[in-house]
Amino acid sequence: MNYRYAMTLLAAASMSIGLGVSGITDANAANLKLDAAKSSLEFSFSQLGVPMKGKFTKFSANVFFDAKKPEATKADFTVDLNSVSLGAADYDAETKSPLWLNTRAFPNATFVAERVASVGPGRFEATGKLSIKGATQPIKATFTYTDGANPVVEGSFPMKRLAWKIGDGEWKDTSIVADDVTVRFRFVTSK
Amino acid sequence: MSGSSSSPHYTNTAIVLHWVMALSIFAALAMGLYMVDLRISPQKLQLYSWHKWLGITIFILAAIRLLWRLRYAPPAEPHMPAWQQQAARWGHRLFYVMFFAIPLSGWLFSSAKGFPTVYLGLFPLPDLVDKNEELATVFKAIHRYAGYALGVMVLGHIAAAIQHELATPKQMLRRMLPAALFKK
Repeated sequence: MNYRYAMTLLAAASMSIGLGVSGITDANAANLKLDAAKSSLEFSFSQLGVPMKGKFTKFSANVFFDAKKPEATKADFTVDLNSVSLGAADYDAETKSPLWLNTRAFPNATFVAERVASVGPGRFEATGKLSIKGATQPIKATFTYTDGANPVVEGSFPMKRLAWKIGDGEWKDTSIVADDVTVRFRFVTSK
Repeated sequence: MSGSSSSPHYTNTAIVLHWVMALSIFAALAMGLYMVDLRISPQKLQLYSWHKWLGITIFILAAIRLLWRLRYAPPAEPHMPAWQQQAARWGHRLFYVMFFAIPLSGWLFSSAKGFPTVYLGLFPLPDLVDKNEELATVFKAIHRYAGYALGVMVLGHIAAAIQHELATPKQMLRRMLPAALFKK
């Protein structure tokens, strides 16, 4: 081993250690594991002026998030649409039926984040593609990130149900069920 | 609710309230019977909304009517046996109970089911109880059977009116018929 080779090796080793150390000390960057049992995913809409609420109980996610470098975010979410609940069995069955979510043919909805940007202290905006029922449309969500042992990601996004043909055929009439749907999420995670 | 006025007719207000409520109740009962067995569809949701709006309207009209009835005595009744007088008195009291109890049980049923009631799609009414499936079953049964009972009472009311018209022509019905409006 000649001197030059030894020095190069040493430099490379110290660099990699340095990188490793900085990776460990940068507590903000993390792969976030979603705790679905503590998290919630709800939606609300208006039916003949009456506020209606529903929720999904089964969903999962792969998230890498750094509050200091939100543009480096990598996130995808999967929602089991058969876990939908409107609080009444007949409504749940209707929601899963072909004109609505058609869960037999399309059991999952997915969201893939494409761009996350900071819009204020602890506040972020995420744009990405939401796929439901074979259709893919862009959405824009705003959320807050609260760091800690169990970081909490909380926010919402608006969507137009008909852009995904959710409520097709006779249900296209938005005077009965409004086109506007608000989705609210609260994800409790661990690093 | 005692005594009687010297006029041969009910007041204009009482007559209008009677007939508007009669039409509203007939429509609400017909809708209720028809809509419950429909599959979930826009038409079903529309009918449920109209049924609820009509129910709240009946509740409001009944409140006005009760106050009016307490303030303005009805015209004298034609002569009839004492048991008929008592049956009419208690029958009419039971009508008022139903006017309030049926819309209220429907509202409670809706609240317990977790569906808020928004009058005319514009005015949100408070949820009377929290979402509770067992309570919903109870209110549903009350609403349903009280509705059936009211239907039977309406038929009895009509039968009695016809009977009186046949027994003592042009004495009973004219007190409440729309033709009596604006007659002194």
